[in-house]
Amino acid sequence: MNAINTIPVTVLTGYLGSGKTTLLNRILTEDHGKRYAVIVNEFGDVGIDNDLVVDADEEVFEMNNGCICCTVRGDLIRIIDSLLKRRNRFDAILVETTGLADPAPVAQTFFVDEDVRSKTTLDAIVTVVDARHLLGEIEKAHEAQEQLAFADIILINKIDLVSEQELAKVEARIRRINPTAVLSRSERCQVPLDQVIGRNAFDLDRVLELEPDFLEHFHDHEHDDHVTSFSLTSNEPLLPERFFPWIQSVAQHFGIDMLRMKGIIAFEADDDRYVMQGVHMLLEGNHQRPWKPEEARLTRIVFIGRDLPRDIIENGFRKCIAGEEGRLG
Amino acid sequence: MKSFVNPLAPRTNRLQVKSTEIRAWVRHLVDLPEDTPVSVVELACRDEGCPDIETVIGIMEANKPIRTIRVHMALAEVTRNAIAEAVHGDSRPRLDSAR
Repeated sequence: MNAINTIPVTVLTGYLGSGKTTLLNRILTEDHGKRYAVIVNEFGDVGIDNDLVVDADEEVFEMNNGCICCTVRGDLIRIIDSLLKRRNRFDAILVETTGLADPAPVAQTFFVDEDVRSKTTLDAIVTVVDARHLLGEIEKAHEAQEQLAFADIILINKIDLVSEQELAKVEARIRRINPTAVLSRSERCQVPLDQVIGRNAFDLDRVLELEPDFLEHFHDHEHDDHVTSFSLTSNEPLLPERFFPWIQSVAQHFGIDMLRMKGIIAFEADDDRYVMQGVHMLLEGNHQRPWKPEEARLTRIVFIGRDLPRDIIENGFRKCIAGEEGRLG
Repeated sequence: MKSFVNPLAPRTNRLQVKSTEIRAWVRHLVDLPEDTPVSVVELACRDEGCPDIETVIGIMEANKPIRTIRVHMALAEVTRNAIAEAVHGDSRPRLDSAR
């Protein structure tokens, strides 16, 4: 799903006080051989004066009557348009969001605007969390849960302020919300930068090339969170003529609450793995590579969202399985 | 063997050429400076009451709210006349300031 010669974009999120700006300043000041253009929400917090550091004003562009799935960030489109006129001066773009920002319009900007989409590639959504305060904040702060839900990479920061036992609880709590993100630990954001930037972690195709079992280390959790996750699996192949109308119907009915979705599909009479992912109503999928002879042709889809009705979604999914009787849900 | 049409296939850059063309038409029709960002988006909003597919064009002049032009057709099918009608049509219904 990656285009050649596009500019990689890393989106940096994190709840208030997580250490996000510390990480940003490290990326800007350390000698790692890459030049970044940076879109920040507060000029004053960034310890560098550079005309490639640009202030964002969180201008929301609602293209369709407030539907979150059709909402992008107008300021990002304006800024990226301007930056791309100087594209020989930087190698990648970093977007820092405010502590309370909704990551969805930021992510969607890189998929729906034709010009931005064709010239940039979303490298990863990186979320920084404060290991000491996460458990206390997360029940009350829906923004914090959603920033975790959207993340491809989660940097658990300030680990020096908690015990190993507390850290295990923090990681378990994060996993309940986002079972697929890569977790890293740090003190004062001192993590090797190649663990958070240039990872191509948004691209599920690429992730599965490096880690074929990526979606398999997943266990369902029963809990009362605002944001929840669950997976659906099948050892039997799916019928494309049932599957595509069903998954599009899921996006239609539950897209507003479906934050991320990732899946590997085994279709009947199809020798290739089909890989798909979604952000709200935006769905994208393609054949990846042939199934290996020794590989189990297992379908697995992971949904991360707000109060998604698992029973309804699962019921529809079962009807897509070859040999299953019934009409589309 | 891939025996089905993939409705979720990633869009190709074929649309980039078309969107560049659309931006040029809009700049001419609305008399915009060359450096004004114009966003071209094909929307397939599945909300009830929304058209199945439409092209939304955002005009992003400096220090002004985003203005939108809506053309109720797929991006690949948008014509200069369709944009002109949306901008200058009798009812002038579709050139609004976005919220």
